[in-house]
Amino acid sequence: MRVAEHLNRALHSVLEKDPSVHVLGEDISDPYGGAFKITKGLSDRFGPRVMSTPLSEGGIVGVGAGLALAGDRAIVEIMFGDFATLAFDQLVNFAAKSTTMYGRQVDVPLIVRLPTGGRRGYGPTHSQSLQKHFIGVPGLSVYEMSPFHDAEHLFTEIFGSGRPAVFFEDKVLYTKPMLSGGDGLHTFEMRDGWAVIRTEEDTEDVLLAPGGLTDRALIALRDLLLEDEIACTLLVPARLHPLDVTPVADVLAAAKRVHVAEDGTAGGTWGAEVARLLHARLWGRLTAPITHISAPDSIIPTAAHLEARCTVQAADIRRDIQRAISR
Amino acid sequence: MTEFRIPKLNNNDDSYILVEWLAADGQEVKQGDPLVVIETSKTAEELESPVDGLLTIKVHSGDCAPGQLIAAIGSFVEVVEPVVPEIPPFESGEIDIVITRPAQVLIERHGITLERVRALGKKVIRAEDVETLSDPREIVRLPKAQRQAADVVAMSHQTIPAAFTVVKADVTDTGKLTRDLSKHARTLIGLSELLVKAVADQRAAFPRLFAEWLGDGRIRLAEGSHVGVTIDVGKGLFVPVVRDADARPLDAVARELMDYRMTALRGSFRERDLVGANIAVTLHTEPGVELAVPIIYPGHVAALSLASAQQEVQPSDEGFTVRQTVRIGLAFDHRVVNGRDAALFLGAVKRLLEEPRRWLE
Repeated sequence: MRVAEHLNRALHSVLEKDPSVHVLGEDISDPYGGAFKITKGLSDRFGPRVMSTPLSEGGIVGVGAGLALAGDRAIVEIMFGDFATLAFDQLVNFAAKSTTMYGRQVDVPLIVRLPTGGRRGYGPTHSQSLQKHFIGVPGLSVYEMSPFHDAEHLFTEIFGSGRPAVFFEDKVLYTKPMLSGGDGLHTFEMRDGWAVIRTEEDTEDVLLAPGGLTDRALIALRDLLLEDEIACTLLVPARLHPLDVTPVADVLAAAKRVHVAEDGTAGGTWGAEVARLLHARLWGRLTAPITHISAPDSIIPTAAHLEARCTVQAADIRRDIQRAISR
Repeated sequence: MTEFRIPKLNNNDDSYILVEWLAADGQEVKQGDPLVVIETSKTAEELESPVDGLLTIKVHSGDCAPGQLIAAIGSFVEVVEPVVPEIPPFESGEIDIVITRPAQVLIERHGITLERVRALGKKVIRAEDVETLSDPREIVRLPKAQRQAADVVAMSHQTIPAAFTVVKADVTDTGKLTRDLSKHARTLIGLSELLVKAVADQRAAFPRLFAEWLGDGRIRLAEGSHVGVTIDVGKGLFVPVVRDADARPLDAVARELMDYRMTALRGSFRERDLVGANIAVTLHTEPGVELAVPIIYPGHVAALSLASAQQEVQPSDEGFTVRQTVRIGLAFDHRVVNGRDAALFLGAVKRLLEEPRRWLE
């Protein structure tokens, strides 16, 4: 099953099991079913709980947070994650802060889904990966979909946490199959929010990457092993922030080199925050500084050959890991 | 015959979904007739026939890409789609073995069978694994004790800048003394026992040789002479420790060494027998061994060696005389002590061995 269909089924299931859940977004109603068809069939089945809204990201995230604050639960789709910037105020100053600023803990079960990332030729304002702008907002969780994690489980976990969350979904990932078990080269193991992908245990190299990079990271891992004889373990967390590395502490403890890859542009990134966390934890055991792999500090061009240079490719991951090892 | 390929419908997608054919396979179609429904990531689009003719469908439904040939329209000429070789995907499920490309090259070069590769019992086969197969000579793993010894001596070599000095001691008169002492103490007292005690007794005069190098120009002085003594009775090399050998009488030191030898035969040292030394005496008393250079244990400043006794002809007042001599070597950390200290230290030890009367005082 492809990730898009998996997400669609997860939304069907969440709406079916919990009558307090609402889904809001632009053009999400049937027959169109959303720009990426993730909300297909929802409005036909669940009627007014699934609502196509006017084109106002700030407005719909505000309504979603209001529903959550009033005791219901809301999933808001921003058609392109780039426009989450229009909802930044509602997320930071309303949804996230509402969890604590009323003198008692208040649950804000709100999920803002953000189709994200480039590699589809959508140009500068429809291709970005804005995760870094949501890292370190008190009260706000940051999640990213992966082909390993069960989306319904993640939605349930977020609602259960009482904290609002932004939920990034890579647009190319939509077209890829869900993955489980292994691919004949690597085994895929699920551990408390993390996917552990590896061929051998206790590898000297460990790569951390959000779910949207999975396809490229798997190609890099395969080439590193088969061509360069470098065994590397891939760790994919579903929750990017706050990041809890406890479930994969043993994998990290065996590492001599750690590499972090992400789709965002360079500068003030999620990967830098991961490196800060891990340097403190692994200092003295690592033989090299943590490798950071990201898109360059550049606006993403539309032309395919230029876009390819401004987005992380499998070959970039492989090359940067090779360099870190040979330095 | 006209090839019917999927046109590029937008800038966004590298693949579409062929939803359904609106005309049947083999049907006569007219230019402008709706032929097929293609879904992009944004919309579903009907494609029209570009010409009149018979429709021959090549791709019935599912994934398709811009430029892909999905049908032919016209005469009944068979359209042959060029076969694009694809990297076969790994099959999911049980993983057998993974052979890296460098390993595969070696396997083919040496004509090694897959059975022998499997017999390695490894999941990932690298070039170095295959190299072991192409060389008929056996590879064995050293026992654990030797592997530990390897780590210790390698660390010593890497971290301690050692110098070495040797003295020759005349022990001709010591033989009778040791026999007397042994009888009196009712335990074996030989040159080894005398040396351990003689070394231990130098701590007050030569504290630096018992010290521990801390780095940054600092040493920690010892609070007692704890002498490690090498014992190897064929069951591995052990270095049990005679603790506070400077504060205890010679016969007590000798008895402890005898106990250690018995323990070595049984092979059951306890951890506390083997830790805490601050200097080492290595025994090389097998006949014929003239000189040995010991390795300084990491954390120590000095290690001594005792070689076997040699017969030596020496000039005497009226001709020649035969003397018994042994060589005592001292390897020392040159960061902590210099050659002069080493020579003075060895001189003091040598005098104790050469003048047996001192032991009776």
